Amino acid sequence: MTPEDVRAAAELVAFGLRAGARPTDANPYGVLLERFRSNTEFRDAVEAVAGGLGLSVLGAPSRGGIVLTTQPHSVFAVRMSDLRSTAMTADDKLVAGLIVLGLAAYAFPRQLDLDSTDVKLVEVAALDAFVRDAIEQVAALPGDEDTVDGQARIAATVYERMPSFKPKDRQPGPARGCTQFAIAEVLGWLVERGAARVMPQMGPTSYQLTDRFRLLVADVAGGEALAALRNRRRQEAA
Amino acid sequence: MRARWRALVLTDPVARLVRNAAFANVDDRRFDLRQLALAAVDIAVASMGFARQVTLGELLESIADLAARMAPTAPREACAEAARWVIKGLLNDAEGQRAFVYPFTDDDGRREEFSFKLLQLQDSADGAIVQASPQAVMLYLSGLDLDVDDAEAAFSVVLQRQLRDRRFEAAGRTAAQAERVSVAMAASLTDLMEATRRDVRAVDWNVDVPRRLERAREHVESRVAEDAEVLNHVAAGIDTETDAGVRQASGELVETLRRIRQVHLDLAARVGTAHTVFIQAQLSQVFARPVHLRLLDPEKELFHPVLRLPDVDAAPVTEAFGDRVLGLRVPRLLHLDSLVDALLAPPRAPEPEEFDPERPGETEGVDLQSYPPVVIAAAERILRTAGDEPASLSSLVSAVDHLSGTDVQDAIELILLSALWAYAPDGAAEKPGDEDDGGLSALVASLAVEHSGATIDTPVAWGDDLLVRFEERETR
Repeated sequence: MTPEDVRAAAELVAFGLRAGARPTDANPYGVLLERFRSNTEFRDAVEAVAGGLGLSVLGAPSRGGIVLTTQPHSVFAVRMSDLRSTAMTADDKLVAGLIVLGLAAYAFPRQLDLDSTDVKLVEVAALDAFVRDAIEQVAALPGDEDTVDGQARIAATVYERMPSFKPKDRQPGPARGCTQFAIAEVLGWLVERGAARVMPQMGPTSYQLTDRFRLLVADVAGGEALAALRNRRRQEAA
Repeated sequence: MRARWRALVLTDPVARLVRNAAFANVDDRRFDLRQLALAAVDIAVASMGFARQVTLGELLESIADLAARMAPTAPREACAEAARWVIKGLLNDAEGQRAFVYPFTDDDGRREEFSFKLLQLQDSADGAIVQASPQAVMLYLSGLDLDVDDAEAAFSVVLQRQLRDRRFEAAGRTAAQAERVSVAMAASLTDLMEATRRDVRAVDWNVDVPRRLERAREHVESRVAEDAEVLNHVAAGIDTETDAGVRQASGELVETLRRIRQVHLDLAARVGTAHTVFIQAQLSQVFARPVHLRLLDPEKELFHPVLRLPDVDAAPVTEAFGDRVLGLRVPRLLHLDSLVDALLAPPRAPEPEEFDPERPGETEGVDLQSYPPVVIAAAERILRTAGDEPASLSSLVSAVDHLSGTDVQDAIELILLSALWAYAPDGAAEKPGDEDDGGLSALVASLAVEHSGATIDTPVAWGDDLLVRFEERETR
């Protein structure tokens, strides 16, 4: 492995950090990506460079490009709650988290969807309706050990009590303080990270999820959320 | 019965989107939604035969154009809305873009589900690209539940019989159908190659694909030879034919046959590169990470349980999930050449901006940085005094005497800026006359400015003085 190879490996990591960069057959990104996909030594070099920067390589789909995620304490790591320029209340954080989770449930309704490269379109009002339908479904279920209805406020209630749509004063679109505004905000964050794209041709509040979103949900986020859920159950049982 | 039932069911999504159009305020009397849907399928299938497949944006544009041709008086937004409605219907957007599912009950009362998709979206560098499913290819072939090879062979026999009977118009229609079958065949092969690129194990490269490639190769070989024969036969007939109608039908037939030949040659090229695709995919994927089964159901295992948790317990789970999906941020990098722009740009707001509401009485389109007409007129009058003989900038500045208050400062500033602009025009700036600026551009264009050698020393400008001459330009 020569210094040029290491430089090329670092270049590929840099491409992965640019949300807007897209590989094609002929561009430098595409060439490096193909090298990553077909050369084990180069792949090891890329993973080593990424690891040194506090990143992990999740995958390298030929159309979407290299997908990176952060390791704990990485210089690139940021918490969801820090993404808004103003401080988020506990309810705002919970609603934002439920929206990301709801988005994953909407996009991947079955286990095998996480292995399919089909991409989904999302529309703000449709996602809001999906989340509210899910809240109705869980409210209709009989209580179990997870449910403490009547004793404390459940997560669904926090979302349900926030109005779906609050109009802006003399402007189109939702105003802050409603769930459609929160959904548009979360989708905006995903667009900045290359996990979604705006699709104005399909409507003013339409987005397309990219393959990057699928890999992030399937390979990292899903596992960590499940671990957090199990952890909470263990604590309750103890 | 089952095959016919399936062929019938394939058109149900189209019927459904027409039925429900009224709910989306799409006027199905104005736009022929069935035709728009078939056109969308046609475009998606045909694009699969090309190196670059159609994107969702391009497909919407094409369908909106077709809708506009159907209803020339309709507003463009209504055409775009009709196009969106049709594409959403074909994607089964009403059910989360899942497969269409129809239950079938056989003679013995056994029920089974027939599920299929028509259009699917895949991620690409150019945005979401549209892929037609095998069922969409069937719809493209008028619901024929036939192997495309057999369909094309059948059309070939029919075509030869029609030509023998000199039924050229019917032969033209058959040739057009045969062309569609050839395109469908290319689309099927493209689908196989795409599946191979994604996962080489998804396709049987031991037996099935080599057999299909061999059939395609034989097919192309025989078709090219037969097409050439038919083409020569028809072309020769045109020369001797005296009936104008027959000559025209024969001419159209020749055009169609030429297009079909091109489709066959494209198909041959595709067959020729298939093995390279396989080898490359194998090479890439053999070194890839071992694929593990992702046994996660986000809805049932995460979303629903979290919704039922107390909010304090749900927060760590949703944060763990959200932090991992959204938690990579690259610090903003500044380049020297973009530093000024970046500093002048409004701060980045990650959330959608809240706009201040408009207040009654506010006038739209007021440029707060423009000079009042009275100031422009005064500056022009003073600058025109340099028309007979050149005047120094300092003398022009000191000539501003009859104005009052801020107008004096504005007029002096305008004279200084006009002279400076005429002395050293900004190449990147808009050309004079690009916009309505109250005649300022024309004023500056009339100035000839050079270095005078003297100095200027006023409260607002000091340094080298300039010599200004006003030259009247002819207005075109």
